[in-house]
Amino acid sequence: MPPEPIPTRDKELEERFLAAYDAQVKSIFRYIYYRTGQEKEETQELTQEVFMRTWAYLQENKRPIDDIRAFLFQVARHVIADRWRKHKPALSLEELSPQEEPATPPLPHASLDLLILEQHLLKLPVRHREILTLRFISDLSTEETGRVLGISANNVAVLTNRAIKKLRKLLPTTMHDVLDA
Amino acid sequence: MDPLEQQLKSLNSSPASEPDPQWVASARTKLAWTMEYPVQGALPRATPLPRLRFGLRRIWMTVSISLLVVLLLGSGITYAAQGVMPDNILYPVKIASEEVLLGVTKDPVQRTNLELRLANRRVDELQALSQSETLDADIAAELHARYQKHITEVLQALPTIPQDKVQTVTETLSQDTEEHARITQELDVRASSEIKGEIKASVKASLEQMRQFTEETSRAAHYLKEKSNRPTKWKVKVETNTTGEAHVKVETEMGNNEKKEKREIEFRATPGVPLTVTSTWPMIKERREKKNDEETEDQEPSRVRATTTIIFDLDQATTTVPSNTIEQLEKMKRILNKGSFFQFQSDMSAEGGSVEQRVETDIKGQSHIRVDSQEDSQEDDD
Repeated sequence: MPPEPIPTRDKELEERFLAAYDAQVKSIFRYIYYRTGQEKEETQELTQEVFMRTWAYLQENKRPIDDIRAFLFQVARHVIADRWRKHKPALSLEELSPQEEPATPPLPHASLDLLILEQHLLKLPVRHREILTLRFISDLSTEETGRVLGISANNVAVLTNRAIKKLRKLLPTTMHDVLDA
Repeated sequence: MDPLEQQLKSLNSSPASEPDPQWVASARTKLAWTMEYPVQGALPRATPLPRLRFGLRRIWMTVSISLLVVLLLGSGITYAAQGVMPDNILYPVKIASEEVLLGVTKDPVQRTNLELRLANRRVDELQALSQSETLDADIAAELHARYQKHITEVLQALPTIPQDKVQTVTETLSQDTEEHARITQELDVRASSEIKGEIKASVKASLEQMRQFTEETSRAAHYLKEKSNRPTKWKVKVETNTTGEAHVKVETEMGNNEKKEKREIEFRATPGVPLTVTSTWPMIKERREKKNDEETEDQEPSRVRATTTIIFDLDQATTTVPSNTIEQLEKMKRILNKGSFFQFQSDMSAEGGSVEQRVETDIKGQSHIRVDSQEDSQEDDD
């Protein structure tokens, strides 16, 4: 058995990729977290897979990627899609459909607002959740979001608007007061 | 901007969507190791398996032989195969039985020990074949690849090993790889004097690769061993009894095995009364080797502070938000109901800094736990 030649290492590429890891790991994690609504452990596993796969791709193709950030988000979408095929989604259909909100007491502090917002974000349909996550939580521009999703920037703006409206409808009325204030 | 958009943006800093800092570091290590040692074993499904000398695809060989191994277990053949060398017809049985064993060993510590034992075997085989002058380039390369795979598995598994076990593992790893480096170093000399012509050159090249790898691993293992000599354990236990009082126990462990410091603080949190406990610990800073001076080991103690704040409100200690949706958000952010109990453990950074653990019960009776750590150079009031 002739040994597989040990691939020559490209130190510069490695360093650049590790730098990309440092810069992007949190936002990729957040994207997967809100996009899938999975537990933290699961999200971490998926995040790791994103970087491993991207690295494998870089190794095979040996050519730099222009926009590593957008590329990572694209890989993340593939990783999620692959996982989706294997597993059932974490949220049941019941939870996905809008529910009657119990009357909630006045909200004491900002972090609780966020908690509620988080829960309702997870109730949105995937498409809406994804666009809001990319635009606001991952802080991508409409152009970048378009590149990740493979749609035009205009389309992104329209979808974002729709998703925001939908989210607002889902939120309990007490939250509206806070938001309108 | 739309206030809702603003709110969404602030989810950016929500602790729920924050990966564990420990995980961020360990995933980075794994990535770096994958770059460092891109072996076939690292991505089992992505790379085709190399062909075995017998001409069969190794995967089928392994599958059929694993079956055979299972059938023959106890018959003595697999046992007999344990001593055979790579040039023997029974060698695939040996490899397959190893893989069966690896397949059933799930515990990370046991698994790393096993991988290490198998790595030792590969070196022994290399040595034995070289001494009996039957080593050829193919076998040398295969043994090298297998050895590399075992070692890489060990290194990649390190971040998953519990803090209290990692020291033993890195110590064994360091010792073993040092020995491997020594053995392969000697093999180089033997091969050059005993094997002839072109074969000699290719065997030499294989051995050279192996030698470099063992040396590099040995250095890495030594570093890891040094690093794991300074474990810091941090354990906070919060227990709420049925009357709504919270008992908090903070257990801290510092230093290595020879000099272990343990501290336990236990206190009671009265419902509705915020409670803050601060404990300060000396931290051992990273050892700095000074080149000019004689070997002085700098052990500047810096301080680390840990704060646990408990705010527990009995009157409001009923949950109005369904617990399953909250649980979905995050494990660290648990609801502390009356009579409930949780425990968590975090490792402090070795650089010196402060670790803040905050348990806060909000008006709805949910307790949020937060662990923050910061660089902290100045002395703290203690």
